[in-house]
Amino acid sequence: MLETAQSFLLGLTQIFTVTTFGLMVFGIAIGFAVGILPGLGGPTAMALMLPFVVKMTPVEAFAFLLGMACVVNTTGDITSVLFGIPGEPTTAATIVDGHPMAKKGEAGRALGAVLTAALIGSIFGAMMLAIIVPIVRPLVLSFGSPEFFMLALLGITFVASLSGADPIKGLIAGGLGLFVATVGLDPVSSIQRFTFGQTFLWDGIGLVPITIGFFAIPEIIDLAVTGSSIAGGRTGALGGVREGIRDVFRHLWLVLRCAAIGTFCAIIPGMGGATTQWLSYAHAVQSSPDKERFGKGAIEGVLGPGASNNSTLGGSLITTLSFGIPASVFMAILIGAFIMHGVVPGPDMLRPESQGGHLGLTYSFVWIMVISNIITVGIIFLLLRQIIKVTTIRGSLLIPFILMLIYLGAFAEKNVFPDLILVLIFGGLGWVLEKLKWPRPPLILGLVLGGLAESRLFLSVGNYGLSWIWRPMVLVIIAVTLFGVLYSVFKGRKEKRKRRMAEAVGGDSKNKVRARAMINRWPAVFALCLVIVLALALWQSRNFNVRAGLFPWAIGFPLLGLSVLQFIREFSGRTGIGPRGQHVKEEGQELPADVVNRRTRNIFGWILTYFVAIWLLGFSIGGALCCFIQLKFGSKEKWLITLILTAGLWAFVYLLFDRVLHVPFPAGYLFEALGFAE
Amino acid sequence: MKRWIPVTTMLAVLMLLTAAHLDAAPFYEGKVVRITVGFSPGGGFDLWARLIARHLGRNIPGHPTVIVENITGAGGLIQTNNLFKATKPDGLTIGHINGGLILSQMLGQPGYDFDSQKFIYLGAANKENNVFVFGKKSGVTSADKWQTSSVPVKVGGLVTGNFIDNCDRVVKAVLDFPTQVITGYKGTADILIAAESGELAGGPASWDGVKTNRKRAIEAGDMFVVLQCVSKPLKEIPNVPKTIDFVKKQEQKKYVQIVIHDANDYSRPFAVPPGTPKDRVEILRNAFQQTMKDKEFLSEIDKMQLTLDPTTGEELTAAVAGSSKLDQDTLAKLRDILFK
Repeated sequence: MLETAQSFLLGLTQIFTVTTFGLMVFGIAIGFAVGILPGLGGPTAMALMLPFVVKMTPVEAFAFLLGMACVVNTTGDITSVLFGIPGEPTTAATIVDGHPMAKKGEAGRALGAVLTAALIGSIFGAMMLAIIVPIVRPLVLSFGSPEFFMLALLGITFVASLSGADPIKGLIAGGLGLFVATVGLDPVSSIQRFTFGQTFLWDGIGLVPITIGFFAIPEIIDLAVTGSSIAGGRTGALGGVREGIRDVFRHLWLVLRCAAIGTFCAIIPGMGGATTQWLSYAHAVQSSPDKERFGKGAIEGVLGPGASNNSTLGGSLITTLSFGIPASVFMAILIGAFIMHGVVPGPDMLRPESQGGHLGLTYSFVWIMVISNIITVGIIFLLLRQIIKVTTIRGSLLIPFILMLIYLGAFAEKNVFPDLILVLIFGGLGWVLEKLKWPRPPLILGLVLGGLAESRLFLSVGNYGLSWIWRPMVLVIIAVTLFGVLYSVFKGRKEKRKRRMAEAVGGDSKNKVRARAMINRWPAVFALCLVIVLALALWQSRNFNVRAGLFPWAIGFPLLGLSVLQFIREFSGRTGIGPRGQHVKEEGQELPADVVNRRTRNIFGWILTYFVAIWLLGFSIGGALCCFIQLKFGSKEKWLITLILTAGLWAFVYLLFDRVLHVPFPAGYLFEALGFAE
Repeated sequence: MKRWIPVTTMLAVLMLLTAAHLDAAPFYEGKVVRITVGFSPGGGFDLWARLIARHLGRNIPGHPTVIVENITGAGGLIQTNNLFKATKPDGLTIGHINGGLILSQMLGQPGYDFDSQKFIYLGAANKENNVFVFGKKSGVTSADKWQTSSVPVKVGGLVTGNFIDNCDRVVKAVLDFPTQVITGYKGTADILIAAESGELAGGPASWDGVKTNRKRAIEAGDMFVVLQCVSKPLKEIPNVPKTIDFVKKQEQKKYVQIVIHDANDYSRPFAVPPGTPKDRVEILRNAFQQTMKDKEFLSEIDKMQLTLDPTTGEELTAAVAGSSKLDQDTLAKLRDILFK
């Protein structure tokens, strides 16, 4: 015990040398930028930095790398909240409620809340690392494929709580996510499913292009249509930062629960921040009495993912340290650094130095995580006033940059150009879903859990036949799942009754009439499109063997049935709900329909123009050219500002991404065709 | 591709002319050489590509800058197809290919738009060197125990056609060990955890990783290395039997040779696209060989506890060619073994 305490203090003192602390701050600075820029992931940055690590001592090396790792999620949240583009793949869930807050002029409050939650989350994760390390091996080893499958299933039931007012829409969206997850090579027989012969679809549809398309594209359309700044002139809430911090303590119990979800899910190999953020978001919704607020700027929807995407680092570090098995890409690179310094991850990490172990080093990680997060959050808070001002900049000046960030983010994750097409497709779908009031998070949740559920189900059956159902841990998870489902059904009924009573008192008939008129056509068309696409997909799957087809069929047929039902409901106008309380956004400045239509057409045109220009002329030239034309002739800006911004955009893309980071941009089809590509 | 031919020929002629008239500076001076990798950072391919990128430039006349680009997807197939079809053969782009794709391409799997025989191989720094590792709970402590087991022994796989699965399948279908292949794990790390927890008996994994991250478990008798999928025994485990040791018939030998030995030889190659000028190929091949002996490179390898097991470009070409002269019967049988 005494030795452990000594190691704990030794870990702290090790950090406070000039070089170690300096390197940690340097790492933080790099991570800061990497987190803010979408598409530029933490792992890439770490791989680039690995060579420099060779010459450092172990504590220095990890101070540097962990300092970098700690902050990417925190700063990634900033991009998510301000622009609606995920700064990191692990900060996408923050958008759902964080960006609507920014649009209400509450960016300060959202950021204050998310940063404080992130700080608490990371400290929670670090503390868990310190506490749980001794028992983690048996814990992880008790989790086999059946338990994984059940956990995925438990996560999928969260779809119900994310569905908003119309459960059928939510179920369809969740089912669509599960169905989209089956695109790619079947995980066992490597039969191609819904790939249309395209190799870039073999690994399935990535989370990054989907989330960027789903959230960032509708937001940029919205920004262009309202024709104002992100905050829409509502800038009074710059001082909301303090309110945001207070929100964290108001919902402290939720923040801690979500931090725990992050840490404990991340301990399980294969569950990273990309999944846990959505589980936490779902949990935040589920545990709230008033689910209608979510997606429109509910503070709990910001706190949940904010806390969990930072606490995952502690969790995945637990697995990495005690097993020597990387729980994520980040960790794989970290292990490389370990081995370089002659530190072999494994049980040795948990033994004090006096017994030949590295416990002091392990504890120094805890301290590095805590201290670098405190530093980061401190710095951001100092800069926050300036950062938030972005939301008051005129939209027309921001749009070229946001569009470039969208395409850069889509490309730079895998450096594969067709991902841009996915962004366009899912951007279109996301916009339609948003307009027709379909919930988007269930689709993402289905997507992140679908693959896990499928492969682990087949592994369970392969390993245990059907007897896996009787494993004790499986039974526990089944019980938890049933409890969750029943509880939310019961609660839902109660709420419905309440609502009906409220409605009986003061019905909003005017709203309903207008909604009727609006609803009749497009929702039915969309539902019909869904039916057709699903039917075609199922027709295409007729040649799959049982192994490859089971999952798509088990999801596809019920989904088709639900879509037909939805079509009938929409067609006959019996959706049951009007857009109750959903016109909040439009209040204040109602734009005439023709202006909205013109601006919508315009921004759609620009989105496509950028895409075509990038395809023909490459990222730097195509992007800069579009930026110039859009600013000068589209939004009629002055020459000076047009030229400055165009040059800035070009420098940003060419100098930073191309020259410094060596992102392998394609040369542009036109140049290639003409034969003078590089 | 076709559009390129006149342009590249013209360029080549121009360059030859300039080279003939002027005693020009080395071609690579001031240039940037790209090494493309089909996987994201964090994996073995990326690690080795970056390692070599750090030292290769020093060994090329003109000392070009060498950078690494990750073009990920489809198990490296996107990058490999891209290297074959859509990369200018100017000696400025090198691909670190997933050699596991080569056998699948030879067997005519759909989507493989390259011809492994036409790539120009520069060399390889290491090999996959898979070994079968079993957990204590399985009771399989030696290859003999596996061979004589009364129930099928459960081993893990990743996806049909992967080198890991091919090793499983050869032991099962060629050597006739009582085996049940359970495929669908995300990586060998997951297989090893499943072996430790007793979900699986065991499975194959690259010795390079096993020897560092499972060292303690093996020393403590919690895990056992029972079989190695290599032609010559690995230095650290000379007493562990090889797959070829269990071969009885000539036909079996052929399959072990193709699926395990040859595939292991070309498992981690560096190559340039067909049509790359011969003189640049020579420069790059020499530079690659020199890098393999480079002191700084070796000290870094040592520090990272990796195993250097180099192959020359000529050896790689031979290994690939060896597997390419298969008759239709053998191909059909191989498809049966590996893909059914």
